[in-house]
Amino acid sequence: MICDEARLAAHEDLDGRLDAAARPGYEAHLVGCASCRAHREGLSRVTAAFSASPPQGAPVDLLGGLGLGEPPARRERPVRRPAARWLPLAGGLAAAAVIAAVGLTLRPATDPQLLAMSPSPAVEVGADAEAILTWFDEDADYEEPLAF
Amino acid sequence: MGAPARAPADPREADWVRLGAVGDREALRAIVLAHQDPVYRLLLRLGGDRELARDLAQDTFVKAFAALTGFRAGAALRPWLFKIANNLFLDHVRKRRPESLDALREVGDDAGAEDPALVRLGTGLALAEALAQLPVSWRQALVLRHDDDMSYEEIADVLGVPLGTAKTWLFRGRERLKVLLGGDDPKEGTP
Repeated sequence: MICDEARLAAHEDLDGRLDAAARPGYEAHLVGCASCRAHREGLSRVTAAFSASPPQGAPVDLLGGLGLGEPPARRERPVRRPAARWLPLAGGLAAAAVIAAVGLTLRPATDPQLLAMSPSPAVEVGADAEAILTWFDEDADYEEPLAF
Repeated sequence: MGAPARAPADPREADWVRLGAVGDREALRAIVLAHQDPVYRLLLRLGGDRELARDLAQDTFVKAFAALTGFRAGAALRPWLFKIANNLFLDHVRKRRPESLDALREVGDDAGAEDPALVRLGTGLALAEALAQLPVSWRQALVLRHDDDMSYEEIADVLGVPLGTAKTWLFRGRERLKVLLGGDDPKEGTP
């Protein structure tokens, strides 16, 4: 393949229209020809210029100018604040601390003496339930959770 | 012209055309909403002037609506609208010199290096100025190919020229644009 053919092939390649049969010759030519490689890069920059300047939408009054009413209202998207970078880490540490504390507190006793002193779980739960019921005044204490 | 028929952008297009041809406002409105952005964009790229693009886009739809009864059922509207827009632009160029790029330049002068959006705007200005230096036919072929991803056959169909002519315009336009955008490498031309 000579340079003129390679330059034509560069356009077709850029447009996704290079013939499969022509590709090996084109690529072999590029390997040995700095000039055609530079040409191809230049063409790629043209494509990049179009991509880098995204075209604008039509003006909002175009419909009105045609007597076809107003354009549909654009739906506002809620603004989402990006979470602070340290938030996941802090959350993970807090969760780990809670798990550790609960694990230590509820760890089953292994010492036979301690086991003998410990009240039966059923009694303990029952006592707690009673205490909670007397302490919790449904009407006064309940508050709707805040919606975010 | 043997361009393969492009499918309509929206399956409801056939209904819009049928109803729009008898003056249904909602159907006409739907056609404008579906195609106003690409039509305006094409005209803005070709002329580099927002007011001109807006006026010609409106004229494009007015002409299209007047001719809707003759539109081939099942065909895609966009290439047809592009044909009308291109012809209107050519008429405008024949009547008077293209408008300046002042409106774009005013905004582009503020382009800073840090803000990616402004950098894009600056690139857009450079592209608009380079496009303005090309013959209209080359410009049309380039814009249809790069902005609307049209095939060689579709470009030939929209511009009403043989396939070989469309390719020649596109390739020559791209070569010239490469030089105008400063894309030429000094090494180029040396074996």
